[in-house]
Amino acid sequence: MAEIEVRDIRHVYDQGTSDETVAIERVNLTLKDGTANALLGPSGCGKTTLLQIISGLLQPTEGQILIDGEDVTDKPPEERDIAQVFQFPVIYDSMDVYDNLAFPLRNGGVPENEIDSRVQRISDLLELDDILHSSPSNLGPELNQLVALGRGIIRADTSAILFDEPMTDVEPSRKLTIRRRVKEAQQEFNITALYVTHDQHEALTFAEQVAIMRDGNLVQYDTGENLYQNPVNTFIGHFIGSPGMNLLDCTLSQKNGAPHAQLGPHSVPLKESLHPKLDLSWSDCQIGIRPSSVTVQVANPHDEADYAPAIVDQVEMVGGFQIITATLEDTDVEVKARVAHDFAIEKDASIWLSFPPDDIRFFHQQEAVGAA
Amino acid sequence: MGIRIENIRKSYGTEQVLDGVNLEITDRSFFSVVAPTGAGKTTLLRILAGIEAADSGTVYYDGQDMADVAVQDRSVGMVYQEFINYPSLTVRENLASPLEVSDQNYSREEINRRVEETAEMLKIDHILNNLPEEVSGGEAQRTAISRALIKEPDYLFMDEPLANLDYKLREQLRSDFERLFSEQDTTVIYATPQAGDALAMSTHIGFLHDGNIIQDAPRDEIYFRPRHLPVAQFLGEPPMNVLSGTLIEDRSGDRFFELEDGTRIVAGTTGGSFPTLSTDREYLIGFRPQDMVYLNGDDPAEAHGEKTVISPDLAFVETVGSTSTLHLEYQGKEVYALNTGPVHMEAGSTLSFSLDPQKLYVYDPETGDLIAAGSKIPSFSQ
Repeated sequence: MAEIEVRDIRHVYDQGTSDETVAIERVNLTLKDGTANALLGPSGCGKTTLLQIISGLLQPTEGQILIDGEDVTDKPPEERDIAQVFQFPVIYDSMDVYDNLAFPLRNGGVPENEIDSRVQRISDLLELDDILHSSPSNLGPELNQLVALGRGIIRADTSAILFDEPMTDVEPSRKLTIRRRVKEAQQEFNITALYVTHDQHEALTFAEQVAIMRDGNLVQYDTGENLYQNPVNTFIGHFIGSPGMNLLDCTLSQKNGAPHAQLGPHSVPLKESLHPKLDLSWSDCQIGIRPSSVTVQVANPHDEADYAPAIVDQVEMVGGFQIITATLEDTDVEVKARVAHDFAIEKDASIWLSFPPDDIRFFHQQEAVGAA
Repeated sequence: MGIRIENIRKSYGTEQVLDGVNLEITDRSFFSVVAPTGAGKTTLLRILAGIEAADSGTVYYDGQDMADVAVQDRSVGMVYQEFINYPSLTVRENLASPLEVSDQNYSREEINRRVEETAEMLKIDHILNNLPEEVSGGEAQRTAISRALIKEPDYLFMDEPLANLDYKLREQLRSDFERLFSEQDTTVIYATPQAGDALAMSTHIGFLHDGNIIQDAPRDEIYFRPRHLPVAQFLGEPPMNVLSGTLIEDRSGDRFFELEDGTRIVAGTTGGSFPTLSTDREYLIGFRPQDMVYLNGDDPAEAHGEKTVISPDLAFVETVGSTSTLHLEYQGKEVYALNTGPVHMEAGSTLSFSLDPQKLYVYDPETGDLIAAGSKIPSFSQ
C-alpha cells in the first residue's frame, strides 16, 4: 500500500460560465500508508468531488495528487492502482464469486496457483467460503458488496482503496457485521483506505482519523476521540455525536472572583485553564457540553450548588439510550442529556441538571477557545 | 379515529406476503410497522391506505368498513421514500396544490393561512418562494410532508420517509416528528426497517414477521417486554444477546443457568426470581448489551457476589464519542456490550462483565416465546 497526498487541491465546476461553482476551496490532506481514514460531511460539502479527484475520475482545477511522492495528477484512473468500492456493488453476474475475486489477478497474468491461495485468503478474511461458487445474482447486496471489497484488495500492488458510501444498500440490521468485516480486512492487509460517507457512525467506527469537510473546506482532520472531545468549532461540535454537542448561548460574568458562563439566571462555573483566555466583554459566546456529560437528578439536590432546575420537553430512545430534552427554568435554553435506556423519566417532569466544568468547551464567534 | 384490520391476506404469485394480519391502531398514535426489508411493510401500508386491495380481510377506519371507499375519498396523506414535489412549482405552490385541486373549494385566504401554518410547523417558511431544486434534501422532504399534512388528514401514511436523508438531518427530523405528531390529531402509520427510527419517534410499534404482526404494543412495552425472540433481537441497538443454558438448583436452593462450558449465570433463589421455571430444563437467556456492566480493574468475583460475572474475549471495539460497542466472542457466539466511555483494549483480551439476574429475559427454545423476565425490567399492565 502507499501514502496518498492531496496537495493544494482546488476545484471549480463550469469555470468561467454563469454556472460556476466552487466545489473545493483548497484542501491539503495526507493519508499515511496503511491507515484507515474517513471523509465525512453533509451533502454538497465537496467530499465526492475530492474522492473523484483522488481516484482520477476528475481533473482538479488546481493542485496535485501524489502517491508515495509521485505526482499522478495527470494519470488516468487505471494507472493509479487505486481500488474503489462504490455505493452499489459493481461485480460480474456472469461469473461466480470465485471468478469475480480472481478477475483482477487473471487480468494481470498472475499464475493460477497463486491466484488460488490469494482468493482463499480473502475468502477466509471476509467469510465468503460458503458462497465462493455461487452466482452474485443469488446473493443479497451486502454479500455482493463484500465481494466487491475482496476484488478491490486482492491485488498485492493496490496502492489504496476508496469507499464511496458502501453501506447504502446494506440492510440496517446487517450493517454491524458488514462494518466489522470491512474493518478487519483493512487492518489485516494494512490497507490505505479512504471511506467517504455522510454517516458519522460509519466514519468513526472505520477510521483512525476522520477528515470533516464543509462548504468545500477541510474543517478538522483528527481522531474520533479528539473530534468528539475537542471540536475546533461549533460546526464540528454539532456534527459529531448523536445527538450533537449542546451549544448554549451564554454571556460571561464574574462570580466569586472567577469567570462564569451565564445562562439567563444560571451561572455555570468554567474550568480554571479557561479563565485566562476569556474576556468578559465578549458577545457571541456559547458553552458546549455533550449530552452524555450532563448530570441529571430527578430529586431536588437542595444543598448541592451548580444544579439548575429544568422541565422535560421530550424523551427519545436513541442508540440504546434515552435522550432527554429539557428547558432550563426561567430561560428558553434547551439542553439534551443522555440517560440509561431504563431510566424512569416522563415528559413534563421536573429535573435538575449540572454541567461538570471539565466537560465544558467554550466557543467565541463559533471557534473553540483554549482547545486542550 | 383509529384503524382496525382483520385477517388481511395478500400474496403475489406463490409468495404469501401477509398471512392473516390483525391489528388495531389507536387514534392519534404514532404507529410504526417495523420489519427487515422485504417483509411486506409497504404492502401492508398500501392496503391500509386503500391504494392496493387485499386478497381477503377487512380494513375499518373509525369502525367503518372501507372496502368500497376509494383512496381519494379517504382522509389520508402519503409520504414516500422519494420526495415527490412538483419541480416547476415553488414550495408555496407545492403546498397549496392539494387544496387547489380539492373539490372542497377552499378560499384563497384559507389556502394562504394553511400554507403559512404548515410551513411554520415543518420549518420551511423561509423557503416558500424557492423551487424544490433550490432546497436541501431535508427541506424537500419536509415540503413533501407538508403537502401530505396540509389537508389535515385523519391518517398519515409514511413509508421510510427518512431513508434518503443525510444522517444529521435524519436525527433532526426524528426529533421534530416526535414533537410535531405528539401535538397533532393525525394518526401516523410509519413503515421502517430502522429499529432506531421507530424507537425514537413512535408511541406504538408493531413487528411484522413471516406475514404476521407478531407483537404490537406501546413503544416502551414492546422494547422492554419483547414477547418473541425476533422482536427482542430486532428492536435493539445493538441487538439483545441470547445464550442457551439449563436451569439448575443446588442443595442450598440457589438457582443458576448452566451454560455449555459450565459457566453459571445466577438466576436467584427458589421462590425469588423465575419461580415459574422448571429446573433441569434448557432455556434461552437474553440480556441487553446495555445491561452488561464492564468491570474495569475490580476483582470481579468478590465485588459482585450476587451477580454473574462472564468473561468473554474482545473481538472488536467500535467507539463513537462516549459510547463503545464491544463485539465479544463467548462460547462461539457473538455477544455485544454497550459501554459508556471509550474502551482502550486490544482485540483478543478477556474482559469481565457483571450481569444482574433481575435484568435477564428467558425465552422458550422451542417456540421463541418470552416465558419470564427479571424484576428490574419495567413491566406494563396488560
